[in-house]
Amino acid sequence: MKYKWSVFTVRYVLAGGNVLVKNFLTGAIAILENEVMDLMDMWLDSQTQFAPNSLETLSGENGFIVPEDKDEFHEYQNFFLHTRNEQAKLFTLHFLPTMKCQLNCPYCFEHGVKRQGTMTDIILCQSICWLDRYLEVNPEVASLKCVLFGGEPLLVKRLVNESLSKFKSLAEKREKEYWTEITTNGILLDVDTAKMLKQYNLRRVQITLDGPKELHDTRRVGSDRHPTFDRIITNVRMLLDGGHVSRINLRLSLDIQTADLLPNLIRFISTLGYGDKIHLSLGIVVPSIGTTIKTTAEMTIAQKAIIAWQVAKECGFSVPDEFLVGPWCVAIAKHSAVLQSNGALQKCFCTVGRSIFDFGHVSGLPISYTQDIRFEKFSRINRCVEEECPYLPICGGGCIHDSIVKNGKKGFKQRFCQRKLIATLNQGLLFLRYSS
Amino acid sequence: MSNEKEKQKVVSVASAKVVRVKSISVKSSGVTLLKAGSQDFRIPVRLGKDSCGY
Repeated sequence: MKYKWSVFTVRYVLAGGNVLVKNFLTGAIAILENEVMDLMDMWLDSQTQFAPNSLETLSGENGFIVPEDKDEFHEYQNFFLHTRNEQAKLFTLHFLPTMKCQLNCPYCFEHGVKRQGTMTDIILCQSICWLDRYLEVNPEVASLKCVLFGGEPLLVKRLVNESLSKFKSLAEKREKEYWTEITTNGILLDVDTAKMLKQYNLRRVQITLDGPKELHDTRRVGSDRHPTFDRIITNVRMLLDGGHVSRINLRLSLDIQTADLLPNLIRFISTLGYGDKIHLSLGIVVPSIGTTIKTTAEMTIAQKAIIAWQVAKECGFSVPDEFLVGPWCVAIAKHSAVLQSNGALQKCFCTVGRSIFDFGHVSGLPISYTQDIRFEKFSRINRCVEEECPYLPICGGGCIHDSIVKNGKKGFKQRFCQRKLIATLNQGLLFLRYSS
Repeated sequence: MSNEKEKQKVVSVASAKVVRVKSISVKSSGVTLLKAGSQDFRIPVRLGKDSCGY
């Protein structure tokens, strides 16, 4: 059998000449002595003599080296579609009990949409019927995850309590695993709310911070400009001290304004003393349909992100070992829906409030899965395949919402390539993990 | 694609950044596997995460 380097293998030269290799399909990572790398390159060129000893480690499941006749991109595309269509066992329901929010963040993707709507009893009742029917016609769904989203869901706590109670009961009736997650601005969290959410198997709380207090309090505020940073931190302490959740996800906005201040914010968070009970993520602020954001060069954002992760590592926070962009986004999952307060269904939570993105309504009972063919234009990765991009398994053609913002309706069919960002940030994360 | 072109491609992707690797001994075969791979590594359940900052 003849072999070749996998198209998904990327190599990085280290000090002294050794080479770090990562395969972006299999996730395998290895270091090769430079002589071994040279030997392997030479052998692959000729393949006339006995194979080097390293072939066994570099091939097989690790996939750094693959059989020469392997059409990796074709196999990847088949694998992706098979996984997406035949192995989907989780239904992710983003539930928006209200579109209202007390904040007016400048970058919010819900700018320009009507924010008055709160779900009525009739819509909630229709939602439960719709979900019940959905689980019946899609018996392969084994788990139901409800993500509270908005607007700010905690503006309507009574409705949240009532809805979650019904979702959980429904999942129990249908013998499905069930859990709750919440994306909240964190301002209205209190002990009673925490106890209420815990009843519904609360597994994840995500709260966003826009830099240190001084900056955050100029951006994540309402029309009264009342500061929110201290209240959020108090509530984070309350959740963790009271054991209401085992961990909190703090999403740190990354943009031109926050980038250089993130190290200070991360150091501040570390002084709270919760260690790994706080999980950090970076949310790159991007333009949306209703907002224009001053963007920064991909390389700059990547470098700022790496600096932030370096500080996070020094402070003892867990650091991701790679940066994913789009392939397994909820909007292209087979079983997923964004259930808005008016009962309209969408695939992507970045488009909420814009009826052009509705694909259905809970008043119509489902007969199949939550399909919006606009989010199934998988040929959008064709150019990535032509260019033999090694990052395809962690990118999948990029974010569809970003592509729509850039290209309008045509964006559904087009990729959103951020190769420089992906390459630089993943290299940085890799070196952060494996270098001192 | 020939092996030579393949080699050029991967080299062009990587930059020759110099880092210090902490106490990782390279095995006698000349290869140290830092993380084992799997052909189905990208199945979402296995990843335990998806995109959009989640």
